[in-house]
Amino acid sequence: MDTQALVTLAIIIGIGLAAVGPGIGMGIATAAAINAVARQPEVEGKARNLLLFGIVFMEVLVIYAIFAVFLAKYLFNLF
Amino acid sequence: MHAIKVGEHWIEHIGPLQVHMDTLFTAWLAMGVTILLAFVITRKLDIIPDGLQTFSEMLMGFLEGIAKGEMGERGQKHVPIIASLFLFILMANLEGQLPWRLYHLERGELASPTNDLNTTLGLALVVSVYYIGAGLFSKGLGYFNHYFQPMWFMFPFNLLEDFTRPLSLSLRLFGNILAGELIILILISLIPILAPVPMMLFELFVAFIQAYIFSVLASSYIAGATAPQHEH
Repeated sequence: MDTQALVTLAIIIGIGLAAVGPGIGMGIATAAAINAVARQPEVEGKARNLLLFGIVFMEVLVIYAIFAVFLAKYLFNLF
Repeated sequence: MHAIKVGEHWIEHIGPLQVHMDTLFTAWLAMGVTILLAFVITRKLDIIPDGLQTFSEMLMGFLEGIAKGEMGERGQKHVPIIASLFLFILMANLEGQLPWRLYHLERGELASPTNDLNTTLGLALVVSVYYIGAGLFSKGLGYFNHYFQPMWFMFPFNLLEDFTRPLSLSLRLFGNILAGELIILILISLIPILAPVPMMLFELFVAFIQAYIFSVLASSYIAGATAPQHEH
């Protein structure tokens, strides 16, 4: 395997791994929000806002991974 | 199957500047559409609103809700910037779903202006400058006190926040829009007929969500900067 193939593989696996953690986190956060709304239906609007706010900060981790791929593209002149 | 190119732009040199002409064109188009809509809607304002006016009043109510949800009544004077950011980003994101591919450029292609990091970083820096300015305006030099809260040694971390905020704001918008367009491109190159349609519909939803999140975060940053002391 040459370097380019290795770097491509690293990018693919890396993005997959980067999606795992935030995915689990989002699942836990959403479950908690559903629980809150099921227990107290009147907090739905507030719970949705808080959920959106939390999810945004988890999502940005995966976005950083995507950005790292584009940095890798310029570093290794891939694609 | 044709090659998928990422981050290629139609670059022109104007004086000492390198300008991405495709981004510039679509950004001006988004602004033009927004301004034209605002102009058309505000021509014939009436006590008994017609359809368009009802829609725009609902939209304005929603945008004021974003600003006031974070700041209460203090939010009223920050509605213009929140509303402008929301409308511009919404128009810019939705633009990516127009059939730009029918028109070929030599390099790069026309798409959402928000799939260029320069646009989103510009918007994020506008937000940073605005919230620091709003903090200075409302508290004077006392604004800098918050860097030393709760203890003096927290200063580097509080300072770091001012840099990570524009970084995460710009990368979030850029990454979402670019990833959506990439997925549509990949689907088109695999199955050109009908397969990308659900993803395109999803992108319409993402366009709205990203504009909403950008303006909610902007208003929460402004709220944090202008909050009266001892109210956290």
